[in-house]
Amino acid sequence: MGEVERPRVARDVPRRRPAGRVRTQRGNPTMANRRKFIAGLGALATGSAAAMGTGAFSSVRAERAISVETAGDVNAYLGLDASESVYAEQTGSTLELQFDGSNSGQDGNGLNANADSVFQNVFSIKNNGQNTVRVQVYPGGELGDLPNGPMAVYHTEEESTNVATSSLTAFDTSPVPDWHDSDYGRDTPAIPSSQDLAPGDDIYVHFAFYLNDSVESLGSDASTNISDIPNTLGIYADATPEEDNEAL
Amino acid sequence: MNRRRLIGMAAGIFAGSTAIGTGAISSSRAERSITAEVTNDSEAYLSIDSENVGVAGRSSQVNLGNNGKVATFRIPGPEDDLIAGTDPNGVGLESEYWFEDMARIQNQGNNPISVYSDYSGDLDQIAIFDINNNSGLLTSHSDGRSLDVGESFIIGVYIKTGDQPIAKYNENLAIIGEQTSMTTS
Repeated sequence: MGEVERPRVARDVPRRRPAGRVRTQRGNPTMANRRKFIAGLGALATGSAAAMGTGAFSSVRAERAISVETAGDVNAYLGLDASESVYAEQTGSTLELQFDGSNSGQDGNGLNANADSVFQNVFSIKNNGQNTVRVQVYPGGELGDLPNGPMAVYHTEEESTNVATSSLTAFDTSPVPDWHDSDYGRDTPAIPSSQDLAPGDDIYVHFAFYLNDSVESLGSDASTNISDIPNTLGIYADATPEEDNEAL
Repeated sequence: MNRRRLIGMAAGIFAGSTAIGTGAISSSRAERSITAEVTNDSEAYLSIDSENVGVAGRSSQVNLGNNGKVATFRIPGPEDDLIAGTDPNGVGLESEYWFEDMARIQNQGNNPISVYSDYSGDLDQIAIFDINNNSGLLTSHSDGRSLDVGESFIIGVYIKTGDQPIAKYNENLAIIGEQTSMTTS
């Protein structure tokens, strides 16, 4: 049911200092040189000289070219690779999460009722930008925590080969079972370093759906209702705070 | 400033006496010289320095020949693939991207201004923002970044995509500096 997946936000903070510029050409068709104007006219300039006397420009509008290329999710700055599993698919140009049997590679038609299901290595997120970013997931539409059940979202730096959910790390915004080994997940102060992606690095994303209302894996307050799975998952990547500080 | 005002006042008196003296001018035509120069973006009254700021070639200046060098922006930049393992083809669809450190805007005029951007084109939105202020996009005179005389700030470029086709979009982004003491419509 968790469908339609989008890279919501990528923030790119350039780091490198550029090489020195070359100053040779003149010219930009935007403004007149008013100081020269006044000097050239002298005392004969009547009303115009008074009008121009402040030397101020009142407005400049400069149209500048900006070329922007769009890319499919897998090749974008924030790369989302759906080829890791049959539970994610790049439909058209964007990644879609499919836990409803809609993917032709799946034999099942959906989640078991009243059961806890875990899907590892569903898709991967790659940083194709030029600075380290911290990746976060959130319900589509607005930044913030994921709902308190039944879905939890985990990550690992490498492709997971361990079936134990406790080997995974929950995203900072995700609920996490009490018995989970990880200290991370929602309401815990630490943010795992593995959510920080250096340029060229990727992480693998895993999903768990805790629908068993007798086990209450996410705690008694958490929902086990499938309707509380968000329809979209937002993915947010922002420059790490350390990099922000040195950006100047 | 004082000197220029003085010239203006003196000239006004002169002009007035001329008009009285001749009594009947049906028409007059006065040619006045105007010297205007165009200069590179980085040296203009509204300075847009895209050469000493920026990364991966996303910001640069293109030489227009007689018209000087103007700022230009490319996403992705020609050097965006130089870090091992990265080779972005562009921004994803239905996404919002903030690219920081795109250019330094400086007020080289003689009065405070408000700096903002204006865009209409094929993408959902392109706008500038102040990379050191989270107050949002600079998209109108009232929401613009105030710049005192001589002051500067570094802009980033915000890009929002929808479900456009995957393509290269050659867009124009207007960077505007307007005197803050004037009301604009």
